[in-house]
Parts: sequence; structure tokens; C-alpha cells
Amino acid sequence: MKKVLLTLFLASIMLGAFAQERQISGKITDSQGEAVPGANVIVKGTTIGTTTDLDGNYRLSVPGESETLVFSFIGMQTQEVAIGSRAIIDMSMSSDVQQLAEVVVTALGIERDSKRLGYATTTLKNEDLTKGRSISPLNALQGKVAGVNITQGSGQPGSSTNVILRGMSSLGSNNQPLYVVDGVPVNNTQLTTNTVFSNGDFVGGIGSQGLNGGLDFGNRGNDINPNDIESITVLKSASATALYGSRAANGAIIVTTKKGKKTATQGRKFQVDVSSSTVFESVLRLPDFQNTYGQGFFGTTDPVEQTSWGPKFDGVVRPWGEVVDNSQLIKPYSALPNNVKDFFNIGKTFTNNVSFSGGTDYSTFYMSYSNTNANGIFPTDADSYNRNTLSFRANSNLTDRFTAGFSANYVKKNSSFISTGQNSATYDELLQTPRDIPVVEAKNFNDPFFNLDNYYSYYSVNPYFVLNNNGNEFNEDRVYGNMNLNYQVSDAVGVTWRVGGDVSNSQLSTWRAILQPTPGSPNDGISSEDPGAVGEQAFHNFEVNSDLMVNVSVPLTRDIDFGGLIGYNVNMQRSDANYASVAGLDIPGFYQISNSSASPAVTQSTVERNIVGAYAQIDLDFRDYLFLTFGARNDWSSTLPKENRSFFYPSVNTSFVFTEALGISDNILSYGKIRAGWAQAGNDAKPYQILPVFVPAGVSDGFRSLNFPLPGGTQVNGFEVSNIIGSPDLQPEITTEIEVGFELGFFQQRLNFDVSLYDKSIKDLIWNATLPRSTGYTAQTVNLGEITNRGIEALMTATPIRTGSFQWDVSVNFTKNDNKLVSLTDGLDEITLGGLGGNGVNLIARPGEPVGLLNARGPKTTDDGRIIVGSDGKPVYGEREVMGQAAHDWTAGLSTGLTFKGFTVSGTLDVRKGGLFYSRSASLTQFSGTSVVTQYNDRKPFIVPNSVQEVVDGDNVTYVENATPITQDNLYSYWSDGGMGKDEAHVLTRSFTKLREVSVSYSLPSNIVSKTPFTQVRIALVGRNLLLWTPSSNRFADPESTTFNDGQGLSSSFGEFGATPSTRSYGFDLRVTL
Amino acid sequence: MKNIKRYSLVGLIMVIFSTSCGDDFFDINTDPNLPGEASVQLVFPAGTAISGFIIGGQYQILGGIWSQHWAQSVGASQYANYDSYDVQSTTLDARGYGELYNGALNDLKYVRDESLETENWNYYLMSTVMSAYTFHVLTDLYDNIPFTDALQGLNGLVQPKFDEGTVVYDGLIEMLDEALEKDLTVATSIPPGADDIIFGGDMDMWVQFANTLKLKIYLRQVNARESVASAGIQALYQDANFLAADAHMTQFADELNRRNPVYETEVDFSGFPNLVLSNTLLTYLDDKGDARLDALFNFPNDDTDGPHVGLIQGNFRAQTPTNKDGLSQPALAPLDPIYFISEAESYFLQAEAIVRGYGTGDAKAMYEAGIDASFTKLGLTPDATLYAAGGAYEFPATNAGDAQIQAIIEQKWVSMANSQGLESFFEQNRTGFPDFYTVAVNNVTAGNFPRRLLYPDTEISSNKANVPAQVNVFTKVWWHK
Repeated sequence: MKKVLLTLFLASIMLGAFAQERQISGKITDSQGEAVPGANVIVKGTTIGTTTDLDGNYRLSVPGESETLVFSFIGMQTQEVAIGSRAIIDMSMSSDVQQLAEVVVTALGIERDSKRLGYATTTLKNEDLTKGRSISPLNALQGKVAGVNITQGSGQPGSSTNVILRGMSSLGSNNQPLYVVDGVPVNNTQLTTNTVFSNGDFVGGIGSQGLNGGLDFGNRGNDINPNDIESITVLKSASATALYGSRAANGAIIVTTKKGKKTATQGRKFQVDVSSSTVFESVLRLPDFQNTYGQGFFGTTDPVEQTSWGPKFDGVVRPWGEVVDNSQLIKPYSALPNNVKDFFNIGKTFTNNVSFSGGTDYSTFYMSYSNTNANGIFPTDADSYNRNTLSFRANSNLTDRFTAGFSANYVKKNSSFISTGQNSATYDELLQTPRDIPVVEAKNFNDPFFNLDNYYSYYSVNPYFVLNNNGNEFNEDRVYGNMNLNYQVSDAVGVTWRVGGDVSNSQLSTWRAILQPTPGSPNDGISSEDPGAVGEQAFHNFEVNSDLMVNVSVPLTRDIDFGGLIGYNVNMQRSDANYASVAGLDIPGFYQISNSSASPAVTQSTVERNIVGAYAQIDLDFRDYLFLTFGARNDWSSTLPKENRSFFYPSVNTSFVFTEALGISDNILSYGKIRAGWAQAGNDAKPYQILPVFVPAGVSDGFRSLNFPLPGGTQVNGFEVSNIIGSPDLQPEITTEIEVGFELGFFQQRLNFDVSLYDKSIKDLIWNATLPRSTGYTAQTVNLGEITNRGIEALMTATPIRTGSFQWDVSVNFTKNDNKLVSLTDGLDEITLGGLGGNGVNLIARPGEPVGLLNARGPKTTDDGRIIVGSDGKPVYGEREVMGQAAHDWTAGLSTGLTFKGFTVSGTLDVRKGGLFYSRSASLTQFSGTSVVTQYNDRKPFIVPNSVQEVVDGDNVTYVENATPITQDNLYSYWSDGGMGKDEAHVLTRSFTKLREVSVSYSLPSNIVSKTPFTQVRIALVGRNLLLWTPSSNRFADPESTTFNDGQGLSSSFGEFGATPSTRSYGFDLRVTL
Repeated sequence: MKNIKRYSLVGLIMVIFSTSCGDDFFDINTDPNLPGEASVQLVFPAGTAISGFIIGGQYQILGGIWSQHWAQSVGASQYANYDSYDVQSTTLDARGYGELYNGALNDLKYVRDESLETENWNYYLMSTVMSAYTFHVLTDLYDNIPFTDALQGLNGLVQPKFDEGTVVYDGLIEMLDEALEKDLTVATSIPPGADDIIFGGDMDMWVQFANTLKLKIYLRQVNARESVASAGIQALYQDANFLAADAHMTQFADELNRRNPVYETEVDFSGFPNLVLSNTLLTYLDDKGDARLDALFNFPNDDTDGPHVGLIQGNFRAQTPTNKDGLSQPALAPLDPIYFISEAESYFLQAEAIVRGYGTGDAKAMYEAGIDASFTKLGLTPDATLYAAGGAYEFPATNAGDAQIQAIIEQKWVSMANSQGLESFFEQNRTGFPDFYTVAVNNVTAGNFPRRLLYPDTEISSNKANVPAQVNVFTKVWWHK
């Protein structure tokens, strides 16, 4: 305290040098009577001023002629007070609700008043994030933020969330934003098969990539306990994120966690918050099944067939399945409309959370523990997610100049995920189940009728066997946190050092049972026979990030304040993985690498990346209504060639609060700001794309492989020249973005508009360009083109009604992004980004068109659009053509809330229009005759409408009217080819509307609560994804489902390949404060 | 004063931080998982085994079906496109053409370049022979191929032009001759060991392999460029040093991904539903009472005493039998070698050279040695009665009406069943023998036999300017009779 006085004394002497007048002192408190430290007290019209100390006291010498003092503090209403003759002026400042909501955490954790920002931001508070009780803090953003596209891959608990800000901006690199917790970047790896098994040379079943057995154990961004989050700010533009450097080129998700409460000032030692919720989950969307035709083929019944190409249901009792011990099951030949739906359970998610927080004016702490235990909709716990989080944070003002903060988080996850795709995946089997087969009766997979030997179809495996015997389990221990030290060298200069770490240890176990029907049994020789396999992967991630910053804040003139920042950032990332797998098990049910006479495949990998950045920012503030910010950063990245390692990018943005400048402050227009920004951001390459390497030798024919070392008397090892040519000239990808926007507030901010227009261009895209195989290589890493994203984001918030006890809020956001691949290098007119490969439906990119086009083969047509059929009457495949882009044309969100006394009702609607996706569910249900669309023409013979046959005579092609009908003989193959649309029939519109979130809560009135040990009690009914509307052409799948997660966001936009169904959830939530 | 101290402290910290990240901090972009260098001893077996895996794997299946040793079974359809000649530009694209270029040939080129630089002539010869062998297969399958411009990706030549078949052929001879001229005894020539997965380090046999390959290349041109063939072969007969043993790869074990590739994929992985005995081969061997039939094929339904049942070529939609169990299936084993040039093939090549008068020696003896070697290869005792006077395979007294050539090529065709289908497909294209092939019943080529593969999609899409216009699968390649 002595020091404080000394400083104040010195300060007053210095100030005294300007004018030797009178002393004024006082105390500033908030509306609760608590001291407000750090508030500004300025003599109006001068640069004379001071700030309050920790007790809210100030002392100031003012010139004699001074008339008015201005009191201001972030989040409080600025007030002016006439001095008169008083020597003591105490001030009670009231919080400015509107302003408080707009203190924004910007890049590097710097808090700034939103009016100073020359770019758009959106901040959601804890209340918005936890309303729907999603276990993912990211899913909770869905529908609430403009310019952001958030999708969850599947309904399995813990599956990953893709976040794309302002459109796709990279072809070969990451499109996901940077995740930042309390100013420190954290790891957001998506733990999908493409990541997990990237080096796994895995044949014989387990976890092959892409189309077979896809797994998704979630992204690490979802590890954060939503209850610990104070707010999430979405920084979309390069202007906003440039200071973060290359990793934030796709935007940033800034998470601010809760700090301890200063309970001592309220006479309490600490505060305890407890919340508990129970949420149930059920299937949201299954394909529309037909209920007219049952098990069979070619229009006749077949008791062991796995398709629904049988005759019409007639209700006659018939045997089905195999003959076992001279007996056979019987059932009426009639539809079971819910046979697939009945397979699924009600999923349950229990979340319990307790937090303790407390502190004094000098030190605070916050501790929390949470447990989330989810078991998804599939029977058994093969789809489950268990997350425990433990958090501790403390902040202390060690001296009046020196503050320190510390935060540590521990996350333990155990999750199980069901294989998706086509390889005896459970959902894949279910979609094909004939419409009359009571699949739930097969629950006992040891029953003689339902065991491996005799399960009803030779083409199928009992899904209960798969669920109970195969598994994929993921365990992870993760610790992340940070420490920050701040030293205020002088009133004008402060130094901050913030260092954070993120370490995780993970283990993935995956196993497949021996699947071998007894020789001679009906199912002997089925294609899914499997010798059993087991794979184990251990991986370790390490990341450390350090920022050392010096900031300066001085008034330059009476009207202009100067703020400056220089900083130095070091970021190191490392990951290690060890992987072993073996196929062909000896002891059934025992899943260890040792359990095989075959040699295990073993791989290891280490990836390192170091980045250093130096950055500077200058803020100029003219009379608190015109703001100008210049920024610049230089990065040095280890992933680029030495001569291109260093790259520089500047930014500038400005904000003009014209209502303040022009003195407009009437009841109609109460706030008005225009803003503009221009910024660049660089993005480095992935590690190891520069130098030529050799890879362990091996070759595959698509089914099996030849692995080295070669066996024999002397084993022979081998290495091959890598098929990818590195690029010694690789440049960073550079994003340049222009953004303009305005914010308007009407009627005392009862009606607000926030609109942004942006134009973002990403040059020198890094991509592995395909080479002709005859060059000896398959691809070369090059900088090859440019992408632009242009768009508009608009947000309107309104409070149409606000009376004493009743309030109604509405918020509408709208986003439209136009994405375009402007150019590729010469000679390249198309690149394939993902999809099924070969002749199948693919995701491609072409210059002049959006990145991510769906490309498929439709029917061949004549020039005047008639469908050409073959001699069998079936449409023939035409050339592959682009059907449209994967991305939505526009998206919109509508949120509303009603508050009446203790009641709050709120809801969010998420509307997304346009775009296309591939659906295996569509393909499979047409193939197996279970889809409602296969009822076309009552399955009677028909001639493909508007069809002709081609007559080729030399070079002369003519067409004759087609007279060959589709009959039962080829009806099945007609539909399995997609019917009239061929492959194009499996590409569906991505449009949908979802009722994202509904919550009804009630806080007990204080007169009741006061009779309990609690200070606050709240109960709520919550629901998420309750309803889904899609255009009538999509009768197959939730457009949000995706299987192709590669952790980067682009290829996952292709669609679903047997992704498990999405879910709706509903439940209740109880929160009490002690 | 106080502030100056404070600022100095801060300055000092900044200096410490900024100097801690020198070049070392960034020089971590050398992939720790993959080596930047590898010896020729490690790369040679990789290139050779990949070439073997493709030629002895998927190409063997294609060749086995197109040589009418095998047919696509009923009740399955994996290779129905081969057996109906329904090939597309995607057929054996990345996993055939592609693997041979970017899997095998680029490794072999690395070995050639390295060994040329270090005057390591042993590895230079080995890698040159394997390169020439692989290019030869490609040009015979596709006719014009990238050759002089090929494999230059690292030098920035990323749009290779296609060379005419004759240019490739001349180039192959030239590269073999150049490698053969080197002095293998110099000190810089490192003796290979087990990494020579074909001859275990026996360089004499590599010279024989090179000569036999040259003989094969010359004979292939005999219809199109007779003078080139005759001159070349006559030169070879200066010392007539040809293979008297198999040039094959035997490094297999009966475990996952270490087996013979046809066995691995077709038997272990697919459960063997696709490949069955072709009626063409069945009829021929059955008529002659040839014991090789029972060694090459298992009886249907796991019977021990037959009879064999074959399938008419292309008849995979037949309703009976209902699946492969009712048909004879090839007797494949996990440790079956992959043959590049078999001993029998060497003898048959020499027999033909002699018959044509380019080489010297006893054609009949060579022919019979070929038949014997074919029996031995199957673990059978040679049966001299078959080619004795009056026997089914008696060598014709004269070559009138190409009778001797026909006998040689038919025996070559039999000797290549189950193991060298692609080579016997080429030889049938060249000589027209066997002349009793039946065109597949479900063919999509208007009754024409397939003669080549179509240029692959990956090459067309990435090298548009250079890929020749696509022709039909039944268009003959340049050396075709």
C-alpha cells in the first residue's frame, strides 16, 4: 500500500507541474456498492486524469478553471459531473448493459471495446452455450452466428464438429479455424480414421480408410467443458486474426474461461455452482422406407435374400431364414414399418458439473469438475462417450504492478465408436434389411437361427454380432493450460508473458472378431468372412506456445490516444505415434497383438513444426470516436524452404462511431458506426513437403498387398523412392481480405443491425498436383492457384417488448458466401478433392467455379434431352458432369427468447439453403429395394419415360423410340444404378431447416430460494435438433451427416457414406448456486 | 531511474527470447519418419518386387483369362470385364500402369542412376534388365508409351511424350547392350547378396537374363521388322549365353501380405470365387492325356478323382453349375513363385530362333527341353512319351505351314498356365497360336479378341497433350501379325 501511495504521490507531483490548483479525491463504486478499480477520471477537455486504485479511490489535482470531471470505465456508462466547489466527489457508476456485452476478446487475448474494432466479431456468453445442453460447446454455436458453418459429423456421441468460417480457403491444408483458450492456441486435431490410421497398412478388416469402417472420435476443440466457458468469440476475418499468425488464416474461435468470483467482497468465502442434466437421444432421420414389398428377388419371395425385391405383401404366414435342425422360423409376409427404427435405443447423456469459486479483491480462484456420460442410440455401449474434466485457475495481484494468472485443465475421455461405411458396418446392414424382417428378434446372436452359421441372409451378418464383438475404443488423457505474468512497468508501459501448453496421450484400440461360419453351414463362405484382427495405436501430442508482449498506452495530444504493442511468439508442435496391427487371430475373443501367428505390421511417426512470429500493432484513438489500427506480423515457419521461411503480412482497419462524432444521440438512432479493414495473413505448409524421401517398400492391388521385409532365408528389406515430389520453392499461402461494415442501434439499442461485406482472396494455394504416372511420380507439392470468398453477413437483434417483468428478444442472422476457385496453374483444368474415386461420384474443383463441386454420371441423353437407353431398356451412363457446389447458397439463423419473471423460453432455428451432398443411404436403399422411391409404377413393367434407343450405323447415329420396358428381370439393377438419374440420383440437395434448440427454464423466486441453503435455483427443459425439414427430394438422410472427415473440412463436405443417423435430444437440466 | 532498470530488464528478456530461435530451431523439416537416402541394395529389391507383384498379380489374372487358361467363374463377377473384353480406360490404371511407372520403374531408375554414378556395374546391369523387362511389358500392352521422356519428374519433365513402339524396342536393346558392355569385375562393382531377389547375387545369370530378354524382344518383332530380329538374334548367337534356369522371385511366406499376389488376393482374400479352368485349356490337355492338367487344376467339389469341369470362355452368366465349387479351380499355392522368364520359356525362345534360322543348334532338343522344364516346374516327372515319335507333342519334322513354330508356341502356352498368362497372351497375339481360342460368349467387342489395354485415365487426365487417341481394345499393336 505504501508503494501505491508513493506512486500516486509521484504522479501527483508530476501532474502538479502542469498547474498548481486544487486536489479532488473520491471513491468510485458500482451499482452494488463495490469498488471499481482502474476506472478513468479525466478533467474534461484536457489530458489531465488518473485511474482509481484497487479500492476504487482516486486523487487528482485539477486546474482551477476546470469545470467537469469525466468518469469512465469499460462496461460502465460514462458520466460527467460538474466539479463545483467540491473536494470529494464519490461516484456510483452504473453498468452499461449494451456496452458490457460488447467488450470483445480479440487476438492474443486482448480485450477491447467493440466500438474500436474495424471488423466484425460475434460473442456468445455461457448462457447461450449451455442452453441446449450440448456436450459440445461448438455445436451450441449452430444457427447463432453469421458467417460460420458448423456441422456435426454424425449422431454418435462425441463425433467431431466441423467449423468453417467464411468459406473454404485451402485445398490441401486445414480449413478449420484456430482454437484459442484464454489467449493460448490449443490443439483441435480431429481424431478420425484418416488421422488415426494414416500410416496403418491395414488389410483384413480393421479401420481401413475412407469407404470402409470409418471412425470419428471427435475433435479436441470439443474437449472444453461448456460450463467452464465464460464466452466464445468468433473472429472471422484476417483483420481480426492476423496477429495470431499463420495458424489463424481460417479465422479463430476464442474461448474465454470463467474466472473466480470475488466472493469475499460479498461476505462469502466461496460460491458453489452445481448443475446436472439428463438428456435423451433418439434417431432424427432415417430414410423413407417402402412398406409394400418384402424379402425376395425378381419379384418372388426368397427366405434367405437380403433385398426387398419380393412380391407385394399378402400377410400369408411363410417360413423365413435358413432351415436349422429341420425347423424354420415362420412369420406373416407383411411389412414391419419400424423394423429399423426399433433396432435403435433411446440414447442417454448425463452431465454433472460442480464448480467452486471465490476470492478477494487481490486473488481469485475457480475450480470445476464435470462428468459427461453418453451412451448413443445403438444397442450396447459400442457408441459411448465419457468425458471427465477438471479445471483449476487462479489469478492474483501480487503487487499493484504485478499480476499473475494460472490455469490448468485435465480432460479424460473414453469413447467407443461404431464403424461406418460399407464393410459389415451396422447401419449399412440395417438399411438393407428387408421390410418384413424383424431384425430385433436377432438380438440373441447365439440363437441357432441368428448365429453366424444360420443368420437369415448369406449376404449379411447379424448386426448384433458386429455390435457385440467388434469394437473401436479411444482413450485420452489431456492436460492444457497456461500461465501469464503481467508487469506494469509504468502507467504507460506494461509487459505480459503468457505461456501455454497442451499435452495429450491417447490410445486407440480396435478389434474385429473372427467371423468364420462353420464349414458346411449355410453361411459358410460369405464375403464378410474375417480371420479377426486387432490394432493398437498410441499417440502423443505436445504443443507449447509463448507470447511476450510489451504494450504502451499514452495520450499523444489532447485528442489522440496512442496504443502500441510489440510481441514475440514461439510455437512448437510435436506429435508421435506408434502403431501395431495384426490380422488372423488364434484365440477367439482375445484381442492382443500377440494373438496371431502372422507378423504384425508396425509403424511409427513423428511430426514436428516450429513457428516464430514477431508482431506489432498501433492503435490511434481520436476523441473516442475515430479509431485506426495498424498491425503487422512476420512469421518464420519450419515447414517452408529456408529462403521462403520468413513471410510478412500487414493489416489496417478503422472504425468511426459517427453518432458520437456528430453528436447524434436522439431516441431514434442511438448508435452508429462504420468500419473498414484490409489485412493479409499467411499460412505455412504442412511439415515435410520440401525434401525428397524414400518410403518403406510395399505395393497393393487394392485388395491385398506385398509387404516388406520379404521373407526367406535372409529377410530382404526395401525402400522406394517417394511418389510425391517435394517442392524446394514452396511459398506460404497468403490471404488478403477486405471487409467493410456498419453497426446501427435504434431506440436505445432496442433494435440493432450489424452488417459486413467481405472479399477474401487466398493466393498460392498449396496442393499436391497430380502428375502423369509416367513421370515416375504421382504428385508434386506446388503453389497452384487462387480461391476467393465474397460474402455478406448480417445480424439483426431486437427487443420488441421490454416491460418491468416481461422481455421479448429476437435475433436473426443471415450469411451468403460466394466461393470461387479463380485459377489453377496452367494446364490443370480440374483437380479431384475427394469422393468415391474412379467412375463414382466425386468432389472436384475447376477454375472459375466454386471449390467443392459434385461430379457424377447421369443418364446419357440426346441433344434435345431425351434419355438414351440400352437394349435392356435401362438408361445408359452419360458423361460425368458437374451437378453443383457442395456448399450452401445461404444460411440463416433465427433465435428468440421470452422472459417473464422467473421464466425464460428460447429457441433457435437454423436454415441452410442450397448445396449438394452425396448420400450412400440413397444409393443403398435403392439398391436393396427398401427405399420408398423403388415403388415407382407399382413395380410393374414400364418404359423409361421420354426414352430412346441409339442406332449406330458407322458414323451415323439415329434414335428410335424406346419400346423395351424395365421388367422384374432388371428392375433391381435399374434401381441399383440409381434409376432414371443414374449416379446423379444419389446426389441430394443439402438444404434443410432444423429446430436447433429449445429451452424452457424457470428460476425459483428469491423469497422461496432464501428459505433454502441455496442462493439460486433453476430448472429447465431442453431440446436440441428436435425437428428437421428437408425438401421432398431428400427422403434419405440428414444433410449434415458426413463420413469423409479428414480433419480439414473440405473433403467432409462431400457427403455421407453410411454415416450413422443424426439424433434429436431432449431432457432436463437443474442448476443451483450455493 | 527505476523505469530505466525496468525497461532494461524487459529488453534483456526480449533479447534472450529472440536469440533462442536460430536456424536450428527451424531446421526440423527433414522428415524423421522417412529416410532421405537409401542404398541401391534397399531400392533394387523394392523396384523388382513391385514389378513382379503387378506382372505376377493383376496382370497375371488378366493374362490368364485372355490366354484362355482361366475363365471368370459363375456366381461371381470380379473379372467378368476381362472375360467379356469389357476393358475401360480405368482398367488396371493406377494399380497396373501406374504402379509399374511410379512404383517399379522409378525405383529401378534410381538404382540405375546411382550405380552409373558410382560405376557399380553389377547393380547397373540388374536394374537395367528389370527396367527393360518392365518397359517391355508396358509397350506390349499399350503400344506407344512414354519412354525417352519417362521417369523425369524430378528433372521437371512433367508432361512426357509418348514414343512409338519401335522406338521403345530399339531403346530397350540399346540400354541392355550398354549395361552388358560394362566390366562387372571392377572394384566399384559391388557384389549383390540376398537383395538380388532373382538370382541371389549370381551375375552370370543376370547376363543370361539380359540375353534371353533381348532374344524375346527380337523375336517379338519378327513379323513387323524381320531384318532387325534376324540381325539381332544372330549377334546374340555369337556366344548363345541364355538362361537355363528360372528368372523368378520366390520370397513368399504363408502369412498375410507376404504370399504370392494371385493367391493372396484371389484365394486368401476373396475365397477363390472367380478363377476357374477354361474349356480351351481343358480340351487341349485332356485330349493329349497330359498329366500337367491335374497338377495345374483341382477337381471340382474338392473331389480327388475328377473329372475336370471347365467353363466356356466368357460364360460367367451360366446358371449351372451355380458357383465355382462345381468347376475346376487353378491349383495355386501361397508360395508360388513369380516368373519373369521361366526356364521352359528360355528353351522355347531358343527353339524358335533356331527354327527361324537366326540361331544355331538343335531346335527339337530345345523344344523337348522346354516341355521337360514345364513338367519339372510343376513338380512332375518329365514324360518323354508325349514328344516321342507318334506322341501327342512330337516335334514336326519341318516348319512347313509354321508347324514347328505352332508346336513351340502351343507348348509355351501350356507351360505358362497359372504363372505367365500375360506373356502367353502376347505370344498368341504375335504368332496366332494357339489358333483354337474361342471368343468369349459375352464379349462386347463384336466377336473380336482383345489385343491391348486402353490408355489409362490417370495419364489421360494429367498428360492430355501427349496421350495418343484412344483406340479399341481389339486394335493390334505394331508388331502384331
